[in-house]
Amino acid sequence: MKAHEYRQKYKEELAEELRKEESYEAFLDPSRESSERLAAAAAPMRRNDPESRVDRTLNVAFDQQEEGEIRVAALVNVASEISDDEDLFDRTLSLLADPDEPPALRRAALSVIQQSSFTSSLFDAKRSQFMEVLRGLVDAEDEQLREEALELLAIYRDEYAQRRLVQGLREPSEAKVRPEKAIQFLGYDTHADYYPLLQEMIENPPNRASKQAAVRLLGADPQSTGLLARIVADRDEDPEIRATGAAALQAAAPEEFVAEAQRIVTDDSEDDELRSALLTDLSYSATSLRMVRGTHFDAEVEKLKHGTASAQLENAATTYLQAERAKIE
Amino acid sequence: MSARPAILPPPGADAGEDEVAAWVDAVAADGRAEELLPLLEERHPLYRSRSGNETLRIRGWTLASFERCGLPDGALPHVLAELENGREPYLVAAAARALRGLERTSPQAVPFLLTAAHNVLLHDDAVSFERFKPTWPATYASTATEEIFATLAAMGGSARPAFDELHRLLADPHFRLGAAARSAIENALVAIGANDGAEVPASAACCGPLPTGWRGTRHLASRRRSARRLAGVVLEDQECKRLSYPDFFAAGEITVVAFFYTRCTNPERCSLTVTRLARLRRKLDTVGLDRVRIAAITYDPDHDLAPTLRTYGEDRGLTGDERTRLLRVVTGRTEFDEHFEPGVNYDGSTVNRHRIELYVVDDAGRVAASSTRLQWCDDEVIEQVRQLSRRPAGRRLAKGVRDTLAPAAALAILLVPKCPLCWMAYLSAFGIAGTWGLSASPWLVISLITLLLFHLASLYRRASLRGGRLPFAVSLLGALLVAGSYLTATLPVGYLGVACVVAGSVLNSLPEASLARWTATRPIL
Repeated sequence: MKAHEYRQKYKEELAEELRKEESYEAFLDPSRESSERLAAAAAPMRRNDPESRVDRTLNVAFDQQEEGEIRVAALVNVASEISDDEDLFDRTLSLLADPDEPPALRRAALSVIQQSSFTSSLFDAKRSQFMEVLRGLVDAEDEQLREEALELLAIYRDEYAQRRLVQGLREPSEAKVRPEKAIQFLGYDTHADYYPLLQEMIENPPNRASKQAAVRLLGADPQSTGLLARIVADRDEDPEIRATGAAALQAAAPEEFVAEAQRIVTDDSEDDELRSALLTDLSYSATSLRMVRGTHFDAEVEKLKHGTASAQLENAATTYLQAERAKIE
Repeated sequence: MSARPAILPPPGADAGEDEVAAWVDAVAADGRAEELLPLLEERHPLYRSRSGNETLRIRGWTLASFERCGLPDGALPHVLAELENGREPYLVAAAARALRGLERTSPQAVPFLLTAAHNVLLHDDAVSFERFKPTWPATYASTATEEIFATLAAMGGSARPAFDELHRLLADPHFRLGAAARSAIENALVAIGANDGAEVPASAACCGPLPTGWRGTRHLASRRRSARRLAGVVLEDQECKRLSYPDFFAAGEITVVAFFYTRCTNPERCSLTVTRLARLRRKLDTVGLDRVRIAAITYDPDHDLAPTLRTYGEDRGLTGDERTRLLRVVTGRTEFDEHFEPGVNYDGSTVNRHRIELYVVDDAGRVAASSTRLQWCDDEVIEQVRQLSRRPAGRRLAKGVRDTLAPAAALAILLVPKCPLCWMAYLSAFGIAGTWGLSASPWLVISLITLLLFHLASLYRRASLRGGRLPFAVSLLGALLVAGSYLTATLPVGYLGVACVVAGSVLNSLPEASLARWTATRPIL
């Protein structure tokens, strides 16, 4: 490209950027239709412009007279500014904590603050305030907001969140999230001592998803290997739950898992999907492959591969045999 | 003065946490701080089968109560440990509050408070002590850093060593402090500055040996518990090799033992423990104590299997070898725990609470020294190892005598005749040795011949029993030589003959198996 062509092209690109930035003005114009404003919100916003678009966007975000969707778009656009300014951060926290604000806006505020935990050194200084607000959100009206707050708290291994989650599992009327979500959230902390509760949930599950979530987490409990082995062996159990139990057993008791997996895989009367899942589990575990070596299992799988009508099982068998051979080599 | 009756009986192991908290409140309100001390012990049965957070709540509530009822000396190691290596804001805040229960705080508490501030500064949390299980939003809430700085403020002039550091925290652009934390620091600076009358040197007073009451975490054992009961304890190392406790810990070398587990979420405890053990290993090698062994033992043997142990150690610079092992107890956990009394408790299958702990074990497997709760000092550990390695002159002599006598005794036992025939053979051999060389009186010659025949007959009889004729053959040769020396009057031949006769007796006294190895003759079983 010649120099003048390059300069021309650059000018055109700059002009295009300017047009896009000018279109951002439509977002800030309250006289425009909402749909037009929202479309303009996606345009780039220059941050060092003389028209102070950043400040005006902030005003839109915190203006309770503006529509919820417009405020959400504005808040997202100034996320980086909020992350670096203590006053703005505090205002966003207040917005998040305010039950009179629209749920969608509060969720956007939560997302902005959460984003700042990765990008901003200010977050560490504000962490304690943020945790306090999050705990208050456990009783929020909006289900999605409650769930997001509880999940974050659970990731932080917060004792208050764990207390409320366990309370909800024991007394459904106090539940703040669905039981399977509560179990998933409790699972973020291996010290939460929920294993006895999980065992109870397996005996009397409120729903199938809860039972599956509980089975999955018992893989971290060496004292639940007997229960997991029973679940895996139970032909009357849902195959998906059996498969989940097998994965958990593989983590908790690798030898027991291998023995059970071999038995089920070689049993043609067992569910093909389950057999496929077990073969896959065996394929991707060096420990399991080592335990199987030297047995007649490979020959059985070879026979299975050629004899099955299930494409899924055939693929799983192929994958297993390849993994076994690769390990030997 | 008779002891005051407790207001309420201490809660049992099955008590609900609300019941425990109510008891703590009642005891604290009555000023009975000493009665709360057992609740600070990790091994207390109360913490068995409680979740990590439930344990945290009880401990934190107990610690915080010392602000009201006074902080007894016995609680200080727990408070200092929480400040030095704790990471849970609730517990750190409680420990900071507890320090305010001291009648007079030493400036040596300052480094602990500043360390705590740095530990929690980047992951502080809102805490509330308005009730045992607060609901949120709380009426009154603070943070761990605010509680730390409030304690520094309460210390007044005693906190002078913190002056520079507090200024630095305010001024450091890399530390973004919240408004509340900044305010707490400023209050502390004002409080410290307002007590200029208490002239405490800026740095010296906070350093040096800890006050006596705080030093209880490190000590040499006055009495070492025998390790005989641990003969059946089996451990597995990071290479899946199994060994008994005596194999590694009572094999004649000193061992440094520390506890950890891989699922610990506090980097100031287990992760740092293993990292520091790696450093200690290098230091021991550098100062010529390379024979000292190191053992990192997991609290969580069901989860921390060999591959996990190996990876965890390698990631922290601790590589296992013959002298250095990462171990899990496979059998004999009860005996092992009774021997070491590790400061840990469980919520069923996982650890819910533990402390930092290091032990120096002597060459007989007995715990000789310990350092618990606070981070150990490498130089102190090395000195303890050196002390154990040195033996007093008297003990060295006794050991020398024992070392000499032991094999001599074993040889004597080996050679002592085991049956009447063997005794006859021995005595007759000595008789022959004594008789031979005397003047050739006919009667003495007759006695010599009689003894020889007697000797040979006993050996022959014994040989047929044990199936080995070597002793008889040797003594027969000896007898022939003795007879030949009389006939030819050659002394050397006689000496040789006597030696063969004695040798035959000695061989006759050896165990059949040993003799069989030499003669390829199988002993009669």
